[in-house]
Amino acid sequence: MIQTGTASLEPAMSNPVAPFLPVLILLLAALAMGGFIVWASGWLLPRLLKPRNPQAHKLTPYECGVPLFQQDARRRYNIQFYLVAVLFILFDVEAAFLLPWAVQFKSNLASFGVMLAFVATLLVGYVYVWGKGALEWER
Amino acid sequence: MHTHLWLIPFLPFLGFLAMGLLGRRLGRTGVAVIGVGTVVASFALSLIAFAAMKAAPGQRLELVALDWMAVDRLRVPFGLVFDPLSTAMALAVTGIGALIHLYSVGYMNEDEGYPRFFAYLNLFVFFMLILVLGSSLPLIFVGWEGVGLCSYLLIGYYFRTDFAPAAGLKAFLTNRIGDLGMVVGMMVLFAHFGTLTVGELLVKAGGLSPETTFGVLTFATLMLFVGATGKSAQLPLYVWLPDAMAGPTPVSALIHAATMVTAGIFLVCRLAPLFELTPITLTVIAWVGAATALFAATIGLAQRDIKKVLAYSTVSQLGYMVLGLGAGGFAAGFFHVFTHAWFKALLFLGAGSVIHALHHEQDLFKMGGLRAKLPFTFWTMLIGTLAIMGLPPFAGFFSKDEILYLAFLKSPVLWGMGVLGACLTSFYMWRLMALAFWGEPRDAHAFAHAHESPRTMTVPLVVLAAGSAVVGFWGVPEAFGGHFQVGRFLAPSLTYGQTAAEAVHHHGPAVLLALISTGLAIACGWWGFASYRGGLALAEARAARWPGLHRWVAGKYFVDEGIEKVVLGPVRWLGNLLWKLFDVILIDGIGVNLPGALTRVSGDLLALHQTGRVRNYALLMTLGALGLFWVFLR
Amino acid sequence: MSFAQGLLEALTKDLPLLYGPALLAVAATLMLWPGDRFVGRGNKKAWAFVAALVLLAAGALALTAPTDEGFNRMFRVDGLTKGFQALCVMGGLITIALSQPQLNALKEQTVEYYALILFSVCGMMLLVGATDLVSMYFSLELMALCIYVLVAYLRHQERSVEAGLKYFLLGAFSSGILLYGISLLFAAAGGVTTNLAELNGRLALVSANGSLLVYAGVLMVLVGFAFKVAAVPFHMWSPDAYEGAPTPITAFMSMAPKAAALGAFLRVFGTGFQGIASDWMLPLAYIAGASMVLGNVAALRQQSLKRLLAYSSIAHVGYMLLGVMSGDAQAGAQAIWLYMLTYLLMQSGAFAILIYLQGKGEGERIDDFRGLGRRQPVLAFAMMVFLLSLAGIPPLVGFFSKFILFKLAIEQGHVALTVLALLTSAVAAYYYLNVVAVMYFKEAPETERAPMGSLATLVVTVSCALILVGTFFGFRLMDWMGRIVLG
Repeated sequence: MIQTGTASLEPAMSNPVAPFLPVLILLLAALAMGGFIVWASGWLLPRLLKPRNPQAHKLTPYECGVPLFQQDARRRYNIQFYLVAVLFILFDVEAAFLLPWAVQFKSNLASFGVMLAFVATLLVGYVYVWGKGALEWER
Repeated sequence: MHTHLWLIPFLPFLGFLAMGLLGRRLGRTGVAVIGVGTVVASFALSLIAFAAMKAAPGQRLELVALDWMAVDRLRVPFGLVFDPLSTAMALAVTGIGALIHLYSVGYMNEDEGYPRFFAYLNLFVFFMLILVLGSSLPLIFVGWEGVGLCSYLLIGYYFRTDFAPAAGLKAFLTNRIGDLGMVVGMMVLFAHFGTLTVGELLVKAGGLSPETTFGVLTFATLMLFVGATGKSAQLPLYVWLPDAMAGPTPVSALIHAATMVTAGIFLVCRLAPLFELTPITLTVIAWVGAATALFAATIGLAQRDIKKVLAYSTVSQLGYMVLGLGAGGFAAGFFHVFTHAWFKALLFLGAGSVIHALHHEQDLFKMGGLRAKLPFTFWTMLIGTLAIMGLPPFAGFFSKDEILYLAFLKSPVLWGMGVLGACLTSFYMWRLMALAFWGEPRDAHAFAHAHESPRTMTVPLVVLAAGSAVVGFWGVPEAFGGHFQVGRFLAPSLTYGQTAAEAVHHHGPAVLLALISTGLAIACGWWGFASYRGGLALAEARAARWPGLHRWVAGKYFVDEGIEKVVLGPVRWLGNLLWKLFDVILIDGIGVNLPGALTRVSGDLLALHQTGRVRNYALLMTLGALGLFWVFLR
Repeated sequence: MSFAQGLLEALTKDLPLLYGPALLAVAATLMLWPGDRFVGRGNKKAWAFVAALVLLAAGALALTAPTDEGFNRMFRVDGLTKGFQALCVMGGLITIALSQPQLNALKEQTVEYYALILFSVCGMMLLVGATDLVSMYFSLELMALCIYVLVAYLRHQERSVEAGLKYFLLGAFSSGILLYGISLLFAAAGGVTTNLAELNGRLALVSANGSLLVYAGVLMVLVGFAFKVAAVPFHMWSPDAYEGAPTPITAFMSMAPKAAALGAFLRVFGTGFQGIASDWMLPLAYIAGASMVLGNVAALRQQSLKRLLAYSSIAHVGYMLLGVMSGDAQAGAQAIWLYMLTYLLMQSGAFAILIYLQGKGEGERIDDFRGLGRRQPVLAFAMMVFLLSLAGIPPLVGFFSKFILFKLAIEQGHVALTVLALLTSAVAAYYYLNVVAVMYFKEAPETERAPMGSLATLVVTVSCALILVGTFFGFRLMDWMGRIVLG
């Protein structure tokens, strides 16, 4: 089931961790990249580009109606945030499954049918969610 | 093919279940019909069993339902055996049981525990039948314990009184002592023979050479006899039987006169070939029997309670039976069981009828002159008295005479004791009759309200009286030109296929001895009758002349008080000590409560770690995982 | 051959292995949509019936499935699979039966409730057959996610939601540990397989040199599973979750997922990681011992019967882990299966009575059982049978299952642990008998009797009857069943 792709297995037998070296490099690169982006976009770029006329609303970290600091930390958030986030992740992950299939696809009716069944399952879930009203922001 | 014979014991058991479970919902009539009906049906089936047994090869029929216990060497079948001995006993139990059930319908009429009484009674019949029909010693023991239980329940039947439950307890505990002997005997037999099935046991015993196994067998049979002394109320374990009269009178008649108390004799007969091999045991048995017969008879002389008189009389008669066994006359002993069942049941039921008529007055000194008021009771009891004193041709004569004759052959001293006992028997029975039925009524009020008992009570009396008059002819000894049919009938059971012992053929002194004993008994009877016919004056004068003796006899030699002081007192003291020191302080305190308290406290402490905070839980999980990791690294 | 062709071929060839769980998944999906569209607001309880039928059918399909391995050796049907699948299906059915009174009373009948039960049973059925760490993880999550939601099902009750949240958080935590453990093992074995059998061979080679990697991986997998079966010290969630969950779900959690997780436990440790037994045997022994002690001792002082049963189920898991530790996988599986079966019967009966009393407005406190022996003798008798059997008092069937398990442990040389088990079951007898004593010897104010509901009565009657039957036939019956089911 686990396709190891082009990487050779030979070095793996001598050192089990070796194949994961690229992962480590990628991780470090990602961290560096992420750090740079945060620094650049949050500090460097605004400093260079922004016009300086502050106002109350602009000073809030997120401009979506959720105040950052509150008297009571246990205030209720709107459940819709979480619902949408969870639904997004669900369908996102399942859609990711389409990718290897699409790469390997060679106009074959059988494999098309199998994927159709998979998508149909997703569809049922989608319809269910829709029917339950989970996608409506205001109820 | 004979599976229907299983119903013999189990019909009464079903009756017990029905009455025990449904109880009052059955109504009085329902209870009476079920109670009497099941026992009568059992009786009818016993008759069928009798015919089947006679037709069977070797007059022996074994039914085995299943393996009851099968552990290693021990194999105990759950089976019934029908042979002359057991079938005759079954007939007696169900026959007399049916009569007494019928009698109880009238006697217990006003009692509120009606269903309970009949349920117990039926349960008793069931256990008694298991006892007599069981094919192995453990099964017999089940019946043995079962009848003990029923006896306990029925003695304590009037549980609101003080003395009845106490008497029940006494009976039960005394019997336990005997049971211990029986268990030990069974163990020894099993260890030696490797089986507990009666049939196999006797076959194996027959093949033994007496020299090698003499000691073991003697010990085993003595232990079994200890069991028999408990159940059959022999010295020194007789003390429970007189107190057992606290139960309702039909119970006294059925359990404590006719059937259960003969279980000991039955057991010895059942294992007769085994006892035959151990002369020492037989001698012990004979002397115990003779001593009991004489001892109990003396106590009977001075009792005021009509049932107590009969109770001591029962102990005394049981002594005769045991004496017969000890003298080697198993058939004779059994014959006396058989005749005694008739006339003692009759006497008890007659006494019950008197008590019933006088509204539960049991004191002889308050009776008197009831002859005309209770004609049925009087005449039937008269027959019973004649039978027990051994007047020919009533039942008691033949059986008692056979026993006395055999005792004479063993030792003239035994015979002398027996004859003396017979004289005393005759005396106290006529004393009883005279006090109850002759003379002036000493309690005018009770006398005025006395009335003859209902039909359900008099019919059994008449049947039993007829039996008491004639059943003796079943075993007319050879000395009187008879054939001692009982002996022939029982031979297959008693010899168990072994060669029969040499029959005794010299009857020289038999007739002479019978004449002597009967003559003496008649004389004593007349003496007793004459002394009490006119009232209590003569008796009181006599008691005044020998106050010490009278006090001892009337006080039953103070055996109970002695036991209380010598045995029960120290035991109680020891029990108290063990309870307070070992139970309360050591076991309950340090042994049980302390660890219990510690565990409880640790439970409380453990409950503390369940804080309800997820962060603590996660921390503990992590710590747990790290702890396990540490286990590895160490 | 293309990937999809391979998938299709695998499906057509191997699908018969999965008919049971597949039916559950499809049926539950269809129940949610479009099924629920066509059912009126007041008729939701019809879904209980449908769900029960589906469960029965799935159970039948699972039991008749061919004995084979499939899906690239990720799933396997054998005696163990079928036996534990049957237990899970029974647990599901009993839960549906027990849920009726409460859901009706609270007007909380929804199709989701039943769909979630079906999904979670589907996950369990996959779990006990999974022979690959990855498929095992997936099925474990399918099972667990549904249960998180079910625990929080009564969303208007604070404690239900709290319990669900706690369970979810800790469950996610343990899932992470489990997944990390799996990845470590994957790496330690050379990064080529997650199949249990292959992994075992490879790990045995690596572990011979005392590899820290293998040990850490095995330990983390152990922690993950210990969490799922609620063994000490990974049990913390269970008393809170048990108490907060709707009582039928509490019953469910103590029966079906436990059976499934134990089945997987057996699969992974009993058979899978035999080659590296030295790595996990000692930690497992500690876990088992701690579970027995803590479960029983903490149960002593509980006032709530639900909590008591939760703690005692920790202890029962401790006993069952003895079977996992047995070197003889077949015997261990049989012993655990028997124990689980009898446990399921006793637990379902006890919960049925508990739910009934709750429905009457009496609580779940032990004090509420006062005088039950006088008020409702039959019910009290049944409860007594269940409790005594749970305590393992001979001659009840709970004694036999315990006996078989302990005997096996002794034979396998775990003497000290077995002695501990015996001692702690004496402690257990105290708190079970305490409830019996409360039922029979404490006076209670008179309360009127309420009808029990036919389904709950059925559960109580059948469980009680089976326990009594098992009592009479004892060893013979249980031996026979063990042989038949686990072959």
